[in-house]
Amino acid sequence: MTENNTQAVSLQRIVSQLAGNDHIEFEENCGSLFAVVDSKNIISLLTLLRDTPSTHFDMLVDIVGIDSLSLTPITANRFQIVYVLTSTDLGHRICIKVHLPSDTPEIPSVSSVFAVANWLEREVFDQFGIVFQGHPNLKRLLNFQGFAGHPLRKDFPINGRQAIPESEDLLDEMKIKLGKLGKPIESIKIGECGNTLEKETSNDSDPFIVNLGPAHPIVHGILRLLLAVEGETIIAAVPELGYLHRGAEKNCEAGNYHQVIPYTDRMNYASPMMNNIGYCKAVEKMLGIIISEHDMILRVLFCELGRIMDHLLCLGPHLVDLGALTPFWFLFQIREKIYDIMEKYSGARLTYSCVRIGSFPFPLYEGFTDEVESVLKDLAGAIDDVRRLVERNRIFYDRCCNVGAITPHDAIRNGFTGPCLRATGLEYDLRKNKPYYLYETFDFSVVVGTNGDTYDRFFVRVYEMIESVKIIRQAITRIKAMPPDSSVAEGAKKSKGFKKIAPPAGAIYDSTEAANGELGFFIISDGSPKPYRIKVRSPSLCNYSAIESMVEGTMIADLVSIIGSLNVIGGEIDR
Amino acid sequence: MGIETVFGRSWITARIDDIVNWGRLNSPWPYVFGTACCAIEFMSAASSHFDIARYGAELIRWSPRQADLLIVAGTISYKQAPVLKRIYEQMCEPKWVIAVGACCCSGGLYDNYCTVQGVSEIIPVDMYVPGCPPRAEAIFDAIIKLQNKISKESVLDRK
Amino acid sequence: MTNFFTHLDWLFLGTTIGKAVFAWGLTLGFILVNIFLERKICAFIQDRVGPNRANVLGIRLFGFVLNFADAVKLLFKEDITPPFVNKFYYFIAPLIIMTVALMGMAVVPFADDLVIGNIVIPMSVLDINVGFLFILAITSLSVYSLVLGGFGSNSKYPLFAAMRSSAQMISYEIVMGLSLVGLVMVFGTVHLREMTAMQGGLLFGFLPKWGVVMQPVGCILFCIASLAELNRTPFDLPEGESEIIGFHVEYSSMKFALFFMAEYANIFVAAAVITTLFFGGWQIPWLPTETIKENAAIVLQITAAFAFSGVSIVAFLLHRFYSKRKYKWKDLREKEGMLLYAVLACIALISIGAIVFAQYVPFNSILKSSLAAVLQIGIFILKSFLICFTVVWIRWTLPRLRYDQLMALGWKIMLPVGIANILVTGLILILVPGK
Repeated sequence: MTENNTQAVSLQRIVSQLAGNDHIEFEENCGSLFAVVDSKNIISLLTLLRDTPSTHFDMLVDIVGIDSLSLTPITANRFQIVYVLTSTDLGHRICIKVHLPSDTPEIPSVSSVFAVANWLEREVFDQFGIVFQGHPNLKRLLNFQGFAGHPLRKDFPINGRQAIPESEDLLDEMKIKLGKLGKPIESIKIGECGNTLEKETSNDSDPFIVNLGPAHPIVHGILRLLLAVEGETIIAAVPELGYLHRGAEKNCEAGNYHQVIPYTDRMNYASPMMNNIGYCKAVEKMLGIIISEHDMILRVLFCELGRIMDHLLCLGPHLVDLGALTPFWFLFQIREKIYDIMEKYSGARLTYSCVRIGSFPFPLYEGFTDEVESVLKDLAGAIDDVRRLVERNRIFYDRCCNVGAITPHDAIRNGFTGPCLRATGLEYDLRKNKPYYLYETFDFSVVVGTNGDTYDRFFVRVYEMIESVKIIRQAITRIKAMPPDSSVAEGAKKSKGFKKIAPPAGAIYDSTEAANGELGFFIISDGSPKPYRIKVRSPSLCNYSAIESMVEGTMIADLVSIIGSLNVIGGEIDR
Repeated sequence: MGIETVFGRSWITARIDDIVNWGRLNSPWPYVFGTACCAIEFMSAASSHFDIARYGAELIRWSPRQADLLIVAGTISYKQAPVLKRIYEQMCEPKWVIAVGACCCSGGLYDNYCTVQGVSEIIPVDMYVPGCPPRAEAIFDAIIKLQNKISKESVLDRK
Repeated sequence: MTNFFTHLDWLFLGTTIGKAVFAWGLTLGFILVNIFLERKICAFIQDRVGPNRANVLGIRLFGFVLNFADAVKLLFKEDITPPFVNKFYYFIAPLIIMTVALMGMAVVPFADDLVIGNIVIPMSVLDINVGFLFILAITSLSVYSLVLGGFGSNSKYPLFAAMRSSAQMISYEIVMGLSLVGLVMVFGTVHLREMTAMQGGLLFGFLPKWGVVMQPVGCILFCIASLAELNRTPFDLPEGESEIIGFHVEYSSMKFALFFMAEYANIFVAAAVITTLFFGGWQIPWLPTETIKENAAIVLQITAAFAFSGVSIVAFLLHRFYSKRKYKWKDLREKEGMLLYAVLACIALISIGAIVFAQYVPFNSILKSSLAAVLQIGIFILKSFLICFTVVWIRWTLPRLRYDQLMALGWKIMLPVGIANILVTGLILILVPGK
């Protein structure tokens, strides 16, 4: 703790030096350092923090909007915005807090400093109505355009339902994009759901506008892209999100801290246990609970099982999208076996919700470790099968190599984390950089790629599974070495009754390395048993944020490969 | 339109029903409108362990015009609703709908501003599968019950 | 009128109709077989069971019955014509593809000439001397179906498919033609009957003179080009489900079924053509027609013995299959087992009967010729079946190529290789003496 403190103090000093004349207030809460600054010079401050070598906050992790309407003490400044910044090489993190007035919540946009801010700001605008001046395209991100009101404001009723009769055509954005490319279109009508060929276009060189999704097989029913193509080459793409926006963050505010756990399950339904653990870790940090070593190792075990599950679900459908259907079935069988284990432990096949704040609800059943061992054996076989099918397959190689490549610099600016970032060759893994749950005591290596293309993303995931197997093996030996009636049983007894939890007032940002990248939870407590605001930093949203630049210039078949390799989980993007 | 108007309720119509229903119930080609967690469970249903192909529901059609069975798996938001409705309208008769999962049946966990409280607000549903998400066996149960339902239909009923 | 009838060759007419019906029956039957193979092989490769519920009175035939259920369902499904389509093109597209698929078998010989007395009946529907040029001409028509279907649908994704398929088909047709030039140089004919007859010879005294032995490179090129023409993985771009859904997005009911069936019919036709050109057609290796006719009794006995042992093996496997699944309840499934056993027993009895028959009854020339024809048809079907099997197998193994990679493969690799193959073949033909 002391080490942390000295680090925070030195960081405070550097930041206040950088700010110069401006007065910066610092707050610290449970290890999260907050700097309260003025809204006017936010751009210059963030640029300074990004470019100064001693701070080097090169990644904007998240932008959190807060409506402090019912937060005591009541101030004139109703809205707050928190920029969570992190440094990929120095390893420190800071939250920049800005207060905004109630009547005209406006702030300069930082999308020129960090590319990822484009979507994050749109989300805040959508949910809170905070206007970002100078934003290139300030539209709603999650809700549809005609939506009245801003749902995450405290005075918005939770069931203020509004229906729309028709999907948006997105042509306004497309027209701007094509205009920039020097190919203005005026006469195109998209017709009924993009079905009819436009008869009005007379010019042969006009681009062909085609709508992809949300009911297209590759976009998993949740994403939508409007593409302008010439031949099969995509010249412009306009993505749309929000088809799976289910308002989980609003619902989280309605329940108590325990009742949030099921919502975290359903955010990333590919690896639900990791989300449970990430959330519980954040709340425990707020409460100052330090869980027992046994629980920590068990959580590591479940996290790595979840990572394997997630990667399996990414690799299989990715190959299906490429036209190789068989590996999906090979991989899914392993998932099925993990389901069996998890069902035996938690009672649910997919959405477990079986982590409690402070511990686990149940002790491990007898024979758990043996079953995990046998799954690991099968997994090795399945990985081998799939690798033999694709690794030296010329078609697969041609389809994936140099497709959707991204440089480390762009990847960081776009907030990439997890396998997608590591595929670019950057060794950034929270398990190594900010170890939690005794990860520093486990022997494993961080898998990195070289080109940041689809092929690298694919194989980073494959080899990460192999590393996870190593970690699980170590965790099993350590669990076996502990006395059988260790603290899980006790913890289970303790956490069974859903004790009333009310963390002390304050805000916290805490993150774990989930399967897709940094999964963060920004929690504000007002001291009551209900969370005041929970913002999830979802890795998928940031990983998907560079889709336009990745897709443009490639072919439709490449788009399939790119989306498949990014592993976009709808529940996590749209929440 | 055809034979049934000539024969009305007779032995011949009944035999035609038998043959037609036999064909329909044995090859329900699904269109999977999978959005969220339930789609993952549907993948389970299609995977080797459970294998939905046993019921002939193996050729998953991505064109609604060729599908018989619309499987709505996952939360439907108000933004998604027009898309779902259009998909349903594009399907050719006879068509059936299975709503998989709590969100799809009733809104489930998400009783809030953006989630449709059950797809039956938008399209007619034949079978509801509760669960969050339901197991693959529950999806099969729905398919078998749907097959029973189809076997009782008559060409006279559909217009 | 009398003049016309006296000049009409009744025998020719009768046999041609008979052969045409046989060829069509074979193609249509193989549609069912191929769909069944597709489902079961894919299930096997993916560790699944595959369709096994559809039954008629308890008879499922391992999912084969599902084909009929599909057919019935598609027949009685609403046939929608979207309002925005170009009706003429939209309607004609499925007709073209099915017609073309059924015409392909017209020139393929499925057995040696049937000699009865002094009448010689060539065993192909059309015995024309342009041979495989006819097949190339006919199969290249199928691209019109995809293009018209895609374009006539007046919808965006089918248009992509039409674009893809037209480019793909045209470029691979060139390779297809080139790969056959070497074969023509070796055999000196394009007449399929003569070509197949020549493949009965032996090279170096032991190797059958099959096309694949004479022209290995040509065979590989032709097989790859055929896969591309069939729109099968790894060349299934026009259908590429995960990318552009396919050219038949706007089709429903029987119109879609025609596309669906034509795909599988085309697989069989391609398999038959590959068999004829490269795998000796109806030729049984080391067993020319004369040998069969001379030793008819022994050949029949050996065949019957093979059939009998085959049936026993199948019966044994079936027994294991059923004993593994001991049903606690009595249901329709047991009936199916009994029926299959009965059929197998019948075949076993027939083969034993054939052995006895061959031992005691002398063979006349008609019997000998028909025995040879039946055996050759059988071997032809078996070879085609194995190629169909391979085509299906490839589908479930490989990923799909991208559009530009497909073009690069066709134009930059296969075309030069095809030309080089012609040159090398020519050189060998000139240099090697005795040709």
